[in-house]
Amino acid sequence: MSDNNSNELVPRTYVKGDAPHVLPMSVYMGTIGLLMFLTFITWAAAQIDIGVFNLPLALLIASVKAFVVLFIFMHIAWDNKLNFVIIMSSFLFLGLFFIFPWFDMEGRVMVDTQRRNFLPRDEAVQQHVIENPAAANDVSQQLRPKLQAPVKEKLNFEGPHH
Amino acid sequence: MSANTNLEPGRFPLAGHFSTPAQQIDAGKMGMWGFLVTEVLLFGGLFVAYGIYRYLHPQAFIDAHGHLNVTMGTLNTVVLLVSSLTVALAIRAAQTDNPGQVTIHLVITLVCAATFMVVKYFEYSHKIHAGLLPGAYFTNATVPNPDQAHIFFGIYFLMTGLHGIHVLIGMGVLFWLLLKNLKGHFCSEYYVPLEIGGLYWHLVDVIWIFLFPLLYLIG
Repeated sequence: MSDNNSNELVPRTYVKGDAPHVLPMSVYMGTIGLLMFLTFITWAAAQIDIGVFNLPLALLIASVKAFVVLFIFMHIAWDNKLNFVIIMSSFLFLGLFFIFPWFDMEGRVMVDTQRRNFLPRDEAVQQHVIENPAAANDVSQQLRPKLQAPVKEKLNFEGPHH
Repeated sequence: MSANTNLEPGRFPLAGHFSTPAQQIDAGKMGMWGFLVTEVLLFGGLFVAYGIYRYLHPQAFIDAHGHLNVTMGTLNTVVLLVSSLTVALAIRAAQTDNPGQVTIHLVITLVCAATFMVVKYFEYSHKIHAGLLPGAYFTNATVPNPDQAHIFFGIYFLMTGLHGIHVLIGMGVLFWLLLKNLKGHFCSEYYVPLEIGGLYWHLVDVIWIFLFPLLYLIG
């Protein structure tokens, strides 16, 4: 009891831990070299234009970098496997988070074109500028209809717009 | 060294509800991983917002991102990667009973974090002066489609702003770890606070790894 603080109600036991898992220095240096190289690849990939694959390629390289940090710097390759499952579950739910708004965005176009009154916000602004040429040079004029026009249009479900 | 009477070398308090030191350390780390999951989902909301608005206004995003400084973004990427290395090396130094090296690596990490924030300050002040701001505050006349470009800058400020707040909090945590290390609290058998603080710092780095190509390098 000699190593207890006097203000503690429950006496603490003081223990020795296990020896840590130490990685050799070369692993750290190799990892930072790889991360710097992948950063260069990220930049290089942005310089070439491969159309629709630009974004997936950028995300793929970023994901590889993220997993390098996760596995080596965050030590999850040698850690309790449950921690790996826990962090991977966040990516699973992030995927769900992405998929449902994506269904919405795709579905919205289908529904609106069927009803023939599809007027996205951008078109509403462009139309406003065509009708009021003075608004073309006035940013505040361009911002305003964006908030009003689509609401008005959405209420008109049945009538053809064009 | 009166501060160390409870923590003589290699010994640390074992809470009554744990049976072994390994179990206590595992539980602490698992708690941190659970917290990191909530962090991923916190930023996830902003990434989803980014995805939706980029889907709606692809051309406006490409036009607007040209006003970000790629050199500064790259510099910050390198600075954060180096800080991730030094925080990992600080943990390694604790594992090998080298508190002097822990101090050096934590100080380098803090310098990197401060460099990141200084670069961010210059980027933000340029945006503010150029009127590249969210919503109604957007006053830049040179960007095509200003009625859509302001959305990009709204998302830019939200994502980098929340990330910047994380860097500041991380700096506070690293400073606290530095003080604890100077008091001699860490050794090869006990360095859990260092490891958990390191996990937080690596996550801040991982989030920037995604922010950099998505904001600065849209092609």
